[in-house]
Amino acid sequence: MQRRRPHSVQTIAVMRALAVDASRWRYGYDLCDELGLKSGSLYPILIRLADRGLLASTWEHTEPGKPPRHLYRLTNDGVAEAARAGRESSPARTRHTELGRA
Amino acid sequence: MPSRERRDLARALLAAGVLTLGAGRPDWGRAMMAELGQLEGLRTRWVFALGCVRSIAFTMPPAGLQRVVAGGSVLAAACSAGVVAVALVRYPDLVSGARAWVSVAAFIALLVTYVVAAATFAPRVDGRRLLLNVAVAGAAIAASWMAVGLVASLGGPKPVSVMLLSLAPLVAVAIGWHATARSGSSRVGLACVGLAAVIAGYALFLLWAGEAVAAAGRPYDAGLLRDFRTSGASDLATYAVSDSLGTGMMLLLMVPLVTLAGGLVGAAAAGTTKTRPSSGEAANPGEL
Repeated sequence: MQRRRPHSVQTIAVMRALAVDASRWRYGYDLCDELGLKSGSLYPILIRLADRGLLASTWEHTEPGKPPRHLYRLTNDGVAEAARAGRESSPARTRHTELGRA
Repeated sequence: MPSRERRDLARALLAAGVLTLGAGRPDWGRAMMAELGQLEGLRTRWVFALGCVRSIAFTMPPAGLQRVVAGGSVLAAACSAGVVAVALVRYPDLVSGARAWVSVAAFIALLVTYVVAAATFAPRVDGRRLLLNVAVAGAAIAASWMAVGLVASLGGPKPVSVMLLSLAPLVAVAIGWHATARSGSSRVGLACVGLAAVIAGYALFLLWAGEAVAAAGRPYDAGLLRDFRTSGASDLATYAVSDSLGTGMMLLLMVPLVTLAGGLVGAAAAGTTKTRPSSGEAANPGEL
C-alpha cells in the first residue's frame, strides 16, 4: 500500500538551489528571493528537510548587538537526495519560472 | 504612523506567532525573527512576517507530535481504565467469577492496542491542520454513534437511526479520501483513519461507560428489567452497569473496525483518482 512520497516542485527547487554549491551556507530570505518563494512556503520545506536529515543548519557568528541569522546547507544525504530528485523530475517541472509566487 | 512603528508591528505579529510554536521549534522561530530583523522595506517585512505566521498556523510540521498524541492516548486509556476501576469498586458483584476477569483482561488488551495504534499512526499524520481534521472526524464519528444510541433509547423513528448509523462510515470514507488526496500517500491516509478510529473509540467508551457508572446504569428500560429478572443477578444497578460496560467494550472494538473499513474505501478512492500537479501548478507547500 505504501508508495514513495514525491517531493513537491518547490522542495526540489530548494534542494537544487542549495546543491549548486553544497558547501556554502545560505540565508532563508536569500532562498526566498532567489526562488520566488514566500516565507510561508520556504520554512516548512526547510523544516521537513532538516527533520529528515537532509539539511544542516547553524547560527551565523555576528558582532555583539546584532542578532545572529540562521544558515542552511544540504547534508551529504541531502546532496544525494537532490541529485536523485533532480534525475526523477523532468526539467520542465522544476524550472524556477514555473514556480510562481507560492 | 511612523514607518518604524509599523515595522515593529510586523515584528510583534511574528513574535506572537512564534510564541505559539511552543518548545518544539524554538530555533525555527528565532530563525524567522532574525531574518525579519535583516529585512528592509515595509512591504517586504510584512510579506515575510505574514508568510511566516501563515506557515506557523497551517503548514509547520509539528515537533513532538508523536509524544503529544501518544501522551493523549495514554491519558485516555488511563481514564477508560479508571472508569472500569470505579465500576468494580462501586459494584463489587461485577466480578462474579473467572469470566469477569477474562473480560477485564480483554479490556486491558484493547486499551494497550489503542495506545500502540495511536503511537504508530501519529508520526505519519503530517501537519497540524491534518491532525485537526482527524480529530474533528473522530469526534464526528463518535457523535454519530452516540446519536444512534440516543435516538434508539428515546424510541425515535427507525429511518433517523439508519441515517445516523450511515453517517459514521461516511465520515470515515471522507477522512480516508481527504488525507490520502492531501498527502499523496495512502500510508498517511490510513494513518489518519486509524487515528480517527482511536479517537472515536476512546470518546465513545468514555462517554458511554462513564455515564453508565455515574448514573448507575439508568434509565432502566423494559428490556433491561425483563432481562434482569431472568439473569439471576443480585441487584438491578450492578446488572445495568455490567450491561453498559459490555456494550462499551463492544463499541471499543467495533467502532475502529467500521471506521477502518470506511477509511480504506476512501483512501483507495483517492489513490485511484489522484493526479500529481502538472508542471505549471504550485504544489502544496507543506508537501515534501
